[in-house]
Parts: sequence; structure tokens; C-alpha cells
Amino acid sequence: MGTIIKATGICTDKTVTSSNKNAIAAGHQCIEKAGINVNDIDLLINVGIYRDENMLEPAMAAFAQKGLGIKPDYVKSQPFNAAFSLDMMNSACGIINAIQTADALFKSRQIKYALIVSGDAHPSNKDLESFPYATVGAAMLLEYTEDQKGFQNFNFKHSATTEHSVRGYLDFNNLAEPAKERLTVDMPTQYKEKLLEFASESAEEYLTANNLDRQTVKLVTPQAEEGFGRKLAKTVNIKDDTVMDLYKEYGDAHSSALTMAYHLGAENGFYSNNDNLLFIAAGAGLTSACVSYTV
Amino acid sequence: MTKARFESIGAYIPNKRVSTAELTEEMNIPPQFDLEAITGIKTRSWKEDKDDSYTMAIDAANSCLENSKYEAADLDIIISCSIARFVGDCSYYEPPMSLFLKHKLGADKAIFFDVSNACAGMFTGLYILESMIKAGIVKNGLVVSGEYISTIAETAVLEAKDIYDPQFGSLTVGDAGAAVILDKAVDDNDMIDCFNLISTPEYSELAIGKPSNESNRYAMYASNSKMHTEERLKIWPNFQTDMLAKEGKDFKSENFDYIIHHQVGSKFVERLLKVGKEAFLAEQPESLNVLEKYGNTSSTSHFIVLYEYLKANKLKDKSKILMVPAASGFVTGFLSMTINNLAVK
Repeated sequence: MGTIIKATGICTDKTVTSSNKNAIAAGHQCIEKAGINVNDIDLLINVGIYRDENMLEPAMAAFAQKGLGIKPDYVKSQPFNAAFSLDMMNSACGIINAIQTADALFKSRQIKYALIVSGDAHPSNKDLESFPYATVGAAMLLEYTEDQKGFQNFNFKHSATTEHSVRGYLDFNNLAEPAKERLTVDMPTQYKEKLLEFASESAEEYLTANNLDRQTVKLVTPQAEEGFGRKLAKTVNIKDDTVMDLYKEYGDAHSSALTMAYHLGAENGFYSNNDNLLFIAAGAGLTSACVSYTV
Repeated sequence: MTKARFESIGAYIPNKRVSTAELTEEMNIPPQFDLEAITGIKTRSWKEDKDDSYTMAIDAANSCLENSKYEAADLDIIISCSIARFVGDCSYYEPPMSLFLKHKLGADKAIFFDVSNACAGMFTGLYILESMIKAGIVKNGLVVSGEYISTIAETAVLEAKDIYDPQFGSLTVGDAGAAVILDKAVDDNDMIDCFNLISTPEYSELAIGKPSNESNRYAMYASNSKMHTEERLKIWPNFQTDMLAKEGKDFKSENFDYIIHHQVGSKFVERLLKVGKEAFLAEQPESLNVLEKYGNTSSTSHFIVLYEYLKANKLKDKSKILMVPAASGFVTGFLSMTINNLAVK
């Protein structure tokens, strides 16, 4: 029994500069691929971090729910037409928190499908060098199966202090631009190096603790810099021939990185039935999240 | 299936109060309306200089832990739910607020993330936590919100023009922190009976919180008259009626002792009670409110009400309470629970 990926979608269209529009475009592709009725989606979680115009509320997930036409209104006497949506934020690890949350709702409530969307953009929707993340979108549709497949053994880890962490915030003391177009992302020079070390350490612990076969397990990794996934694979003695390296083409897809890596890995035919994958996320904190997945 | 319960509750309410008269006197354009009469809000809790989202969340979490059998180190999960995430003058996107809280509290083994869902933030955190407890993923957890939101009231003071101004509603808000620990229910006296949330974003653009176009602060632009039409308000009783019917129940048979609505204003609460009475064809339970003193403390609103009534020992034994969120999005639903041993020191 487990939570499995029914379909994924991505949006890498460079003309789309809004985080919401990227998330919605990826969601459309994902739903179309799954061939399901949108009314069967009962939960929508947005794990994107950086929002258009620095919007505080409503949840960006509300715009995604509406944009995707997922039960946008409640009509009496149709008691099963309710959906719930929310934003979940945990840097690049939010995707794993969201999968675990969906897993909890599959097990405790009668939901049919859960959709996780993501998209990060500079609040101005401009392509600025100071914004270190890719403006892309991703979507992952989950369902629950009675088979012995899907996500198992969630594990989260964080460093003892936030000393080496990236910090992203809206600074109301800095009057350089109007606040709705303002963003500071402080990335310490050693951040990516430390992130790789931390992710590798977490992966090593996870592989050992869960007794995973390093000859066969396939990694789905962050895309924090060029070669990040390959370097990670090497440090934990796993073959890197199925590790997706998307940085050169797209940049750091941040909250969308894992969904995008999985999506393109699947399109490349890297994953077969019953393959064991290890999803590793790593981001601000430093924080990492590992979960194994049986295709 | 396992049920969850409110194991403990805590709050941080700043000592500072700003009266409605003080606020309206400062308005750039003198109001042509009696805000206190319209909202029923005489004063609102207001952050002190030392407070921000982070410190208020810490203070609320510590208050909750003082009322709990758990230590911070026992917590399996921390979910932070505030709308803004201020540390000093900076509103954070990453790392998440929940990580800062975890470090400060010493909740070493807790997993963590933030949720953002407007004024339904704490309901959203509780909904996830309740599901995780029922699914056996965690045994307990802390849902916390340090809500520094009065910045939107300050913006409205500078920018709102009249009662029809989309920033008018911002004048109702106040600041507070609230925290709840859930764990597994051990008997029927303390448990969450039924909990469902719904998002109906057809009109999600009617309430947007974002930095002001005119000044260097957050602002809230809400078309309350369109958002709070009777049709929209009826979503809650219609949804609850349908969900109860699935279990062969109805509102009357639930025998609620108390109801807590979102503390937007007294007229809003009265309208919801009326809509509820008509849609459920049932008298509404006693309505609990603290809006006169504290205003609308957004995501912490319902939990400040519960905290205050518990602290004053005003609830009868084995109370059955119904909480109804109402948030931008538009998010509503219901949390019904029985409480007997929940206490505030």
C-alpha cells in the first residue's frame, strides 16, 4: 500500500514569468497526462516559495485551484464536490513534506487524488540576476494504491544552526524598489558546497538505515548547481547514469527541482516497473528530506 | 480509527491596545462612518516594539508548552501558520519560520514546515496534523502562529478613503500569537469529533494581501460586500449539512454548546449566526467572542477566543464546541470537538 505518482507535468516556457502561471501550466499538463476528471482532485498543495508581487494572501494554491478548474465553488446538494487547497513552505524540501501530507490524507480521509504544484519567480516577474532560481513550474498528481509500491520511509534532517543557509526575504528597510517588486536572496558563498555535503551525508545515512541496494537504486536529486546530482551520487557510491542534470538548461528549479527531475527522467525512460528510486531534496536550513519510491 | 484531541493551548496577547477611536483619529481622510458601531471592536491587541511574527510565535508556543504534559523535545512536528513571517523588519520566505521556532524551542526531533492559507492558517495546520496523527505518522505536534498583521491597519489608516474602500476591513485587525498541541485522544471527553475544510476560489481575487502600491507596508485589498454575500456565507452551513448527512447526522443532533466564528466584526458574526440558523433550521449555540477587546487577530482569531474563555473558566464541563473558519481564498469548513480537560494555567 502506498502513495504513488499518477502523472507529472512541467512548464519551462521562458515567456511565462509568473510563478502562479507556471504552476497552473504545469498542472494542466499533469492533469491532461493523467487523463482524470479534475473533480476527482480533493487536495491541492502549492510548495512554491517565491510569489508574484510578494503576495501574502490568499494562498497561491487558491489561484492554482481556480486556474485548473478544480471545484472552484460549492454547490449545495452535490456533497462530494469539495476540494481543499493550501500553500506549504519549506524551501526546496516542501515537495517531500507535501507528499507526506498527501500520504496522511490518503490514509486518514477519503480523498481520491492530491495534486502538488510549484513555481518560483522573482516578485517583479522580471528576469533578474539577483534571483538565483529558475522561473519554471512543476506538478505531481498522487493517488493511493493497495499495491506494495510508492513512497516509503520519509526522513527529514537539518543542520545544527542556520549559519550556512540561504535566506530569502522581503526587507521593509530597503527602499530600493517598491515592496511588491523587492526581494533579497542572501546566498553565502559556500552555500552550494555545504548543501552538497549535507545532502550527501543525509543520503548516506538514509541508504544505510534503509538498507537500499546501491547497485540498483536510482537518485532523483536537487539541481542547485551543474553536476550537483552526479557529485551526490558519486559520494554515496551510486551510479550516476540515470541522474538528471538540468541546471545547464534550466538553472536551479528550487521547489520544482525534484518533480522536474523525475518528470524528465521518466520521459527519458530511466525508470521501469518495480525500480527503487531515492528522492533527495535539500535546501535552506540547511534541510534535507529523503524518501524511497518504488515505481 | 484513532481520534486526535486538543492536548493544550497557549497564547501570547501583547499588552498594548489601540482603540478604534485612536486609529480613526489618525486617518489621513477622516472617516464618514462609526467604525466601532459597525465592527463592535473597541480596542485591538497591538504588537509592542519587541514583538514580531517570530517572537509572538515563540511566546505562544512556550505558553502552550506550560499548559502541556509535553516538553519541546517530545514534539514530533511543528507547523507554523502565520500570514506574514516577520523577523524584525524582514518577512521571510526561506528558511521557513518553523525551523527558526524549532531551533529556539529545542524541539530537536520535530519535522517542520510552514503553511500559508490566510486566516485559515491555523485550521490548515491542525487539519494536516490531525490527519498525520490519525494515519499514525506522528503521535503529537505543535501548530503555532505569531500573527503580526497590524501593519495592514497602519496602511489603511494612511490610505483608506471611505467605508467602500477595499482597505476598510484592515482596520479591524489585531496582533496575537496562538499555539495548540494535538495528540491522540484517550477518551470521548476530549477529542476532535469532525473536521473538514473547503476552498472555493471562484472569487479568490476578491481579497488580496500584498505590499501596498502607495507605501512601504503590507496592505489588504478586500471587497467585503462581494465576498460576504449571503450566498458565499451559506457555503459553510451547506457544506457542514452535507458532510454531517454522510454520517447520518444533522446540526441539531450534534448538540453543540458553543460556536466560535472568525472575529472579523460583530455584524459579520451576527450574519453568520443568522445564516446558520436559517440553513440548518436550528437554533445556533452560544456564540463566543473576544473581538471587542482584541479585534480580528486573523489566523489566531478562534484560538484566542478559546484560550480566553478557558483562562476565565467560562466553559462548562465536557463542552462541545464548533469552530468555523472564514478566510481569503475563500476557505471555510468546520472543526467540532469535545473538550473537558483542556485547561489554561
